Amino acid sequence: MKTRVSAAALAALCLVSAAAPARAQSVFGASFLGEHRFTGSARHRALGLSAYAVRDSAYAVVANDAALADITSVTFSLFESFSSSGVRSGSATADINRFQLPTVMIGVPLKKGFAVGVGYRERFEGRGEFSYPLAVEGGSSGVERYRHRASLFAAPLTAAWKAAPWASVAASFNLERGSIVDVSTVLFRNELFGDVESRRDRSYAGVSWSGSVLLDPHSRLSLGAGWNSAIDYDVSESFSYTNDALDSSAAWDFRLPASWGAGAAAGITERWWLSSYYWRREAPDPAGYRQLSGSIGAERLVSFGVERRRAAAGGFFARVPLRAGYYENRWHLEYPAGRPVRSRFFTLGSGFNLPGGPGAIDFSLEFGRIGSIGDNGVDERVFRFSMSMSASETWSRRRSER
Amino acid sequence: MKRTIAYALAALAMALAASCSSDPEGPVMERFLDDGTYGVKAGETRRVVIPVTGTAVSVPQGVGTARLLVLGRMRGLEYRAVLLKFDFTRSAADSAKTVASARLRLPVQAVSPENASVLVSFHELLEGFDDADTIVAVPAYRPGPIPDSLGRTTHELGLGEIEFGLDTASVNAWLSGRRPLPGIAVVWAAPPDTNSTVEMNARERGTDPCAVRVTYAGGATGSFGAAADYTVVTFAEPGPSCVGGLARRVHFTFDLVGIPARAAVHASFLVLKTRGDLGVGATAGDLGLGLTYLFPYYLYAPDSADTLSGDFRKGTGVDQGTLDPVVSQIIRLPLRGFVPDVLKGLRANRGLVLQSNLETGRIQRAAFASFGEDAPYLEIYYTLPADFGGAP
Repeated sequence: MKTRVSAAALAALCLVSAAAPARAQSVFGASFLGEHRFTGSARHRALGLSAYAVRDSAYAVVANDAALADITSVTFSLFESFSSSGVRSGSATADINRFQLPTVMIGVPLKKGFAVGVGYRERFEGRGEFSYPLAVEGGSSGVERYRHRASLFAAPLTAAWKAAPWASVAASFNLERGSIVDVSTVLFRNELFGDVESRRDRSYAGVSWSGSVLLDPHSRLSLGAGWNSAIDYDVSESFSYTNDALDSSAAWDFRLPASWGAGAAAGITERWWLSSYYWRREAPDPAGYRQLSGSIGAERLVSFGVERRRAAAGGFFARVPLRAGYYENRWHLEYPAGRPVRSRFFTLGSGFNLPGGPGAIDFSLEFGRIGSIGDNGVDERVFRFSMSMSASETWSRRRSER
Repeated sequence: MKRTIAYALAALAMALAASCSSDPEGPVMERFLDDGTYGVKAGETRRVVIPVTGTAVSVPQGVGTARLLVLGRMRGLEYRAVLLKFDFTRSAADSAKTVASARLRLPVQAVSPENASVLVSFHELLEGFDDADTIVAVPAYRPGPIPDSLGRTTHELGLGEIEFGLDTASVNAWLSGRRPLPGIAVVWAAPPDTNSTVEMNARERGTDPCAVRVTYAGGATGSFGAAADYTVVTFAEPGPSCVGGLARRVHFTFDLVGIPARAAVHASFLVLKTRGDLGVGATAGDLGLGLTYLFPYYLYAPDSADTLSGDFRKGTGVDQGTLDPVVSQIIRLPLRGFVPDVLKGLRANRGLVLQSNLETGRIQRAAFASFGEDAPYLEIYYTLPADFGGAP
């Protein structure tokens, strides 16, 4: 009973554990809230994040919550991504590997055309650990080390309804939580020396609402649109130091403005589809980041994709979907002021159904760049491998419970 | 086929994640740190040197339980006298006997340098002593030395000369109780050579103690071992020296007002330069007993800064260890939580006291430079709190 869903969850755990040695998100993600994560499966990424208007009955991890109404059985889905990048900053270079925590959702159809979903979605993530030699005049040399951990996430409770064969709608209540921790440690490689640590913990808590629609006005045309309310975070901030007499705390508010997006997908033929998506959020007030005043702008995503969908019959290659896309994501962060950080990626991908039953594995490859030497003085050439898995199973009461 | 692909992909993902390593991020993050974009900046780290004043404080302390008795001089230490006390209680059979001859046996075990000797004389103490007491000066004794049977009053004490005749009339008087003997002081008859010592067994060694040996008329013999013994050592040199056995300690005082209240201390040290040319680690006798020349020290924060107070002699331990007192070198004694506690107001700054950790058991000397570039100082490493930019 429920073995496929359990197995999928176990596989997810294994992948997360195996990824532990990797570290760090984008070097730009150590500033402000971190690197924005767009939700969706690897199919969505393979289409350059343009699949907002693409229906997908295989996944509970969807770009558009309204697509959740298409699932017909209990579905567990996860998405995770591994990146490898070469960073250039002036004359300095570094090869950095990254692992992004999975997005996990489980969708449960309560009746045909009506499903609920619950899970975990990362909104922003930033990780970094960097250190510098510290010369102390006339004495021993030490190390200045910084550690940054940022994770803002949502726990959505989603209801999706297929109101008509050509129209689905969804609403979601999102518990918004997260923390951003910065630790500065000065240490000496000597047992007689103690470390001196300064630490700032920021805890974010709030709620948001979101709604979306997915329309099929024509068999070869889909339209999607979505809106997420502003998130008013209550931020609890505490400072702790080795010299604990200096410990202090504060509380303040941070507002992440509402966001909205709209997309379309059109079938050129039965199997070849084009898709596109536009998403935007206005600039938040950089509360808590006064050093970034004037350096925070609106975030925007523009994306395009093309997909050759799998054929029901034919040879191996005919039954394998092919996907490609391109997206440009303009970050909130401008570095320096007036020069927004941009991610530009070309994407490829494919997928196949799980052997033995309902479910799918999709993967995507992304080749792109975050930032530019010309605009930002820093760029990251990124290769990203993402994978999503989904397992579906019809749940029914045990015979003894009937 | 599909199953194979699924497993291959899962394996590939795990292999990628587990096998790849990253370069240090520091170089590519440096610009974000320097221009303030990252928003966190570690506080400044400083090393400060604080001058220290070292004052020698005498805290009288007995060493009557040492296993060797010493006469001579060694790098400022003057082993001026050996005090001996005897119990002349005799058996009933011997009590009426008359002593025909008597000798004082001083079992010398080691001399330094080779063939060293000390010219000594023996005197009757005017008052008794207790080897559990602290005796910082030679007690009063009869000025006239005890002669031997030939009338000689001075003797050369060394490896080859360890028994000396005593005037039998005096011995008969001691044994009969006609003239009680509080004790014998073996003192210098002439100043010994610089850095020469003669060492003999103390009763604490448990074998062959100093003794008065007698031969009675008729040929019977008797021996009276020392019931108490004591080496009287003096030390009068100026400067910061810790001397075990005398208990001369060094009180280091300093002022921490220059350390910011916001500082967090990594480490602090009391930095001293030992004067190997003045140090005494072990005598030849100590080495013969298997003792080392290392000077065990104990550093504590006294409960009182008043050197005359009993609370000055005790306090909270800060560090202990050993140092080589006969080698000139810079030593750094870690102060651990002392400086942070003082800065937080958790304890008062009454300075620090350095002493021998075998103050009651061994006579050793550790001397420290006190002025110029070798003068003692405190070395403190601290870091100010990081700048996070603060709440909005």
